[in-house]
Amino acid sequence: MTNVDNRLRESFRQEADRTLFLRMDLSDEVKRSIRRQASAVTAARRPVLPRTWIAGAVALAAAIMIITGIPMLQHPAVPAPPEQTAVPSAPANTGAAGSELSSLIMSTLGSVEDARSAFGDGLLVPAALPSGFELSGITAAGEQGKPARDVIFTYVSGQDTITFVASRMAAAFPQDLFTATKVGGAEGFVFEQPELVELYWMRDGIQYSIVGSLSAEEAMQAAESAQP
Amino acid sequence: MKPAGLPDKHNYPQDPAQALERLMDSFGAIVMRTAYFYTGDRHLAEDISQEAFLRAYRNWTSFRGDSSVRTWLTTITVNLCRDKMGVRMFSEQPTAPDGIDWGRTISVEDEALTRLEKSEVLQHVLRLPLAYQEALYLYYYLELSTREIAEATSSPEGTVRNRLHRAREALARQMNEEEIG
Repeated sequence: MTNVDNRLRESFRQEADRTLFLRMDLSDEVKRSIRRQASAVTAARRPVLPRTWIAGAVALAAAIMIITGIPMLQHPAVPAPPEQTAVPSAPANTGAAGSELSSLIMSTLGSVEDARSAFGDGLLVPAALPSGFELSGITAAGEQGKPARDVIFTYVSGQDTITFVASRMAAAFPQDLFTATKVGGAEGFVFEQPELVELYWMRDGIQYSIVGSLSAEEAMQAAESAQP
Repeated sequence: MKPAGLPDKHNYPQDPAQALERLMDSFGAIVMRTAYFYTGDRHLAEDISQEAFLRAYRNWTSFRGDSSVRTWLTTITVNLCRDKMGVRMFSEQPTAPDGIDWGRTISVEDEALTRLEKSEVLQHVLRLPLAYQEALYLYYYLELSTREIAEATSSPEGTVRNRLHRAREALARQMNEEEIG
């Protein structure tokens, strides 16, 4: 830059900062909103990889069936097993998982009792959440005529949100970033970030998670308070 | 190239959530100001800023770090602003002064408006066509190089240099007219 350029830049910057950009910063409220949306992006991403894998496996299975000439294409898909994992290891699961992709239904539930009816009696629900948080909604996802695969509880306190999820699918998360812990004797993983904590644990084949604006200690307390 | 363009992703956390915190702390103001400069509206600027940081969060892992993080994030923001405001608003229209799209109305607080009216440079910049304002803002305020501006605005670097040259000339004319008047 020439001297003229430097003077121009200095004047431009100083004058803009004192006028146009006076108090023009990213507010804490906007930051919180960004964190919430980023958290939702992460939550939405988790099932994507396994589903992609499953879709690929289904395509491969279909190709093998066509090549071998077995007239199975007219038959309905194999029913889903009661428990599905994020990364199925047996080829027998692939057909069921594929039909699940096309028939997953989301529904809004009115109460914890409705959630238990939709998911099954084994569903654990936290009894103790950080003070101020109240249940604002319950959503279930699953196939028609079958127990829900996922139940998502959303708790809200002002701008802060906590999400509690029970799922028959194992969560996919980068375990190397998480710290191993115990939730009521079960193996769990926790990741504490500024203003966002993620806690995952598995009990009786069900994957549970608590994600949101709370401390790791509060997440552990909420997790350990989960009861049928 | 200017120091702002040096690759520095290795100084940031690999985890997108942790990186997001660093990005918001380090560049929250610059993203917000850039969005406001383009839109002239605080609420719109907040919406664009949110989208810029979320886009950075989603693409953090795939960002190779060829440029500085600041330049990368600024480019995301500029692209969002141009999309939101309409890229045509920032096209050069030198042949029909009467038909120039002067674009946005900037709302500023009274205190800032008084200072703006007394400013030596900024008030003249804001009287220029948007294409020139954009060139001056990206080059002088954000300190992007002409190559980085070319990437951010999807324009050939030669076009950016020409536009910057004409913007400087137009600014000088404005300022001279003020002095003579």
